[in-house]
Amino acid sequence: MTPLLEGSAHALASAVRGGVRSAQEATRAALARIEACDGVYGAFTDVVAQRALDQAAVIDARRARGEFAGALAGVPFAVKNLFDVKGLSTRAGSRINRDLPRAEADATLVRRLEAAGAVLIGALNMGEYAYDFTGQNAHDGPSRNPHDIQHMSGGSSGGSAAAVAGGLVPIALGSDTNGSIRVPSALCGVFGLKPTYGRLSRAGTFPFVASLDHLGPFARSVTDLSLAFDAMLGRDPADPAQADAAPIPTAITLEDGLEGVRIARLGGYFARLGDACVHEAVERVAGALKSERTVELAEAERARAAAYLITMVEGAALHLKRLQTRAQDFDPDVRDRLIAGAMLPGAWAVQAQKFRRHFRDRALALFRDVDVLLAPATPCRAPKLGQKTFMLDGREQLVRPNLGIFTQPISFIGLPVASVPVWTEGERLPVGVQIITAPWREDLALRVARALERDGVVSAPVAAFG
Amino acid sequence: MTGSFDPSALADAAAPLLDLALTPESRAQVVVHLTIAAEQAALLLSADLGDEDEPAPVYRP
Repeated sequence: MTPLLEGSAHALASAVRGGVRSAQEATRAALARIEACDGVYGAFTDVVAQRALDQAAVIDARRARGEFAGALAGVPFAVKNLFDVKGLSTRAGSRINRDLPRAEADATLVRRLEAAGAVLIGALNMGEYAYDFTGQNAHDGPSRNPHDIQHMSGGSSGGSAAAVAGGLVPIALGSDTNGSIRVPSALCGVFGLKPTYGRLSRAGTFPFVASLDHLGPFARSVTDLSLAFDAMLGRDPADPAQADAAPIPTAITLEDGLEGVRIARLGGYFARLGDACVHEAVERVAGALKSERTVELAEAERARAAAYLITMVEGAALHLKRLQTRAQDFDPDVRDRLIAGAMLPGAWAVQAQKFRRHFRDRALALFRDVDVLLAPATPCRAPKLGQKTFMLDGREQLVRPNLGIFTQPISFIGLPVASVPVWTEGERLPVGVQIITAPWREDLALRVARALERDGVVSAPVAAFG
Repeated sequence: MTGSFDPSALADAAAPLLDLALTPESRAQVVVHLTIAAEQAALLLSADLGDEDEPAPVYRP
């Protein structure tokens, strides 16, 4: 593959700013890589080639005039297809939404990355309406895991993780309601950041569960993740759910090290379930961070149950009219979960929201005594494409709702998480570890991730094609 | 959750209320998901929460 796309986004941006490379070269390289590989990976659903070349020309002209071309100058990126992209229907992985009018403007986060000099290449495959952990799509086909194409990419932001792991783009955006950034990051072996709930603007994206929806970036280096996150920070009056929290840029403290940072593994629920390989990965990360502590986040299993029910109920409410009028146009696996969600007692959803505050208070109490929590991202390596069930907790259970058992309790209360990829010699597929911090401390999660990357404990190599 | 919960009966009763038409295949999967939801709800409803515990979302006019 072209060396332009093998390296990091920050190295590419530096080369573009320095005039060593051009944004147009980088854009053409990404388009060529997509043309060569995406028939296999299935990461992209839309490629906006002319728009990308036009934007790249703007970046190059800016540099030629001696202006600052941006922290992400000339860096190709792509977005899960629930982000509005001007001129495209925001399909959100569905057949039904293709009948919507084309978006008249880009999502806020797309505009912010472009303002930093990045170049939008296209929109990415995802599980229908984001109700998915597998990366499979009944209408567009699956996105495949670039490290082993017989295996799942993970979902619902499967195309985002596959595009980054496959070297099609160095940065992608996705959404995470219950784990949809962290699960595909883990399965495809890339870095992912699920920010604090309410941190980044959701304006111009198709929703799923208003109480739990987050947006965030994927990348193959922690510095790239940090640059993308920083570029997207800031208040947006167009998003009524965004929190009024002061932005904390992460890049300036990324190399600060970990002196005095208190780190512990999550025990109990997070240590009991899942394959041995995911717990070994947590142990390796904890060992590298010289952490010997284990702490309990009590009632995590109940938190997962509450997130599960809120998702069913709010997702059903969002889609009820479509379920009534276009049931046959849904992916049946998504439709039937949504229909069941419409039938659940309202008292369950309210109880789940009451429990959410209670569980949040428990977690905040824990953070008085510890700064960083470690937990597996998934209970296993990437399952095979089409696999419906797996063994979990001693019994056969459905893959689709259960890949997120370790991510759901954390996003339920909106804590920021960096997912980092851990590799084992002799294994083609990685596992992911969640680095969890207190609300608004993305800077600390990324600082820990960067320390691990610097020490060679975690990494995100481009998958070999073919 | 009591042992008498019948997810099929709920699906059959709620579908007309919600104006949802269920094919036999869809109904079978809806029953599976109602069963899973009931298991999750049993765990949730055993939480020790008081009347004064506020739900997480707070509306601000």
